[in-house]
Amino acid sequence: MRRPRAAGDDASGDSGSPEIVVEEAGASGVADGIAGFVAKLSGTISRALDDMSSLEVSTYVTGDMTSIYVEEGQVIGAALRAYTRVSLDGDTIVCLPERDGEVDRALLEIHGASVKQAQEARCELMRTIVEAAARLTGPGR
Amino acid sequence: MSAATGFAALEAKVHAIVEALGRDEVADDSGLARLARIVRHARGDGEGSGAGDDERARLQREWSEFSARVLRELDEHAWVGTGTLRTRVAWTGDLQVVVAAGASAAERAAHLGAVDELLAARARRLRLLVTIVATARRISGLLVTPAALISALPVALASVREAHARGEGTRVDADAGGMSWL
Repeated sequence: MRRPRAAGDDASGDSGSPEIVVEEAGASGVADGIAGFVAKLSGTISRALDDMSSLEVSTYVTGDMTSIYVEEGQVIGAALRAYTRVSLDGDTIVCLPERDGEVDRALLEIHGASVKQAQEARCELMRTIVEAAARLTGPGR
Repeated sequence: MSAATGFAALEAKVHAIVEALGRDEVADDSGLARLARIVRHARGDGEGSGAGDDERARLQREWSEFSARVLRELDEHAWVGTGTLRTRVAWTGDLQVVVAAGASAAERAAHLGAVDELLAARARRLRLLVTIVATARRISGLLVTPAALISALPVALASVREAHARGEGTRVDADAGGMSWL
């Protein structure tokens, strides 16, 4: 189990300026030669493409932000309240929160906005990857 | 200026820098003069290796740290946010959003902006890596025996950084080792 540093350890309960923390993983090797580096970069892009067959956005709620952590890709310490999965072919699954027959509008709003930004980011990343692949495998100039 | 336009402008500046290095027509500019000395030495033209050794070692170290960090960051999840909203972001765009009670509309908007910035930064870094590879391929053509002296990649990184500094109207602090612009 690996616990992200940002998700709880830094929590103060204050709504200060957003910060970005990258989860720690095993050490990456250093790529020195051009061919070696291109191979590493291509590997990173290939793994991304494998993960891009669908787009997932999950929205959780918690009463204690300091206690959440991630285990096997799942957020622990928070309850899943909304989920959207969009397949590459456009098939979409949406699970929305309901309380006493009513949708939680505030949560729906943040979830919907997150889905929209994830889709836009995915489109931009696809464009960037196509361009990168063409340049990495193309002629030297 | 769009991201694509910004990169086109950056690449044009990088192209001009590499052209200047290739023609050995570098003005008395501290950032480029250092690079020019390294390229000149790698081509076997004149200047001794004495002071250049430190510079080559510094560039190599910068590249090693930079490439390892950026590849790692591209591949991993990152958490964005503090307080009432946090999002775990995969670089492919998958999101896990955690909301605590009491998150205001202003906090939600600020948080979405922060997530947007991270997603954009990752796409920007991928573009930068590709720019550096393309630049390194051109620079390797300038070096007679690159493997014996220095990989083209550290010089390419320094060239791209210099081009970025010129676009921003700032100076590269060659001794600071910082990469905050990335």
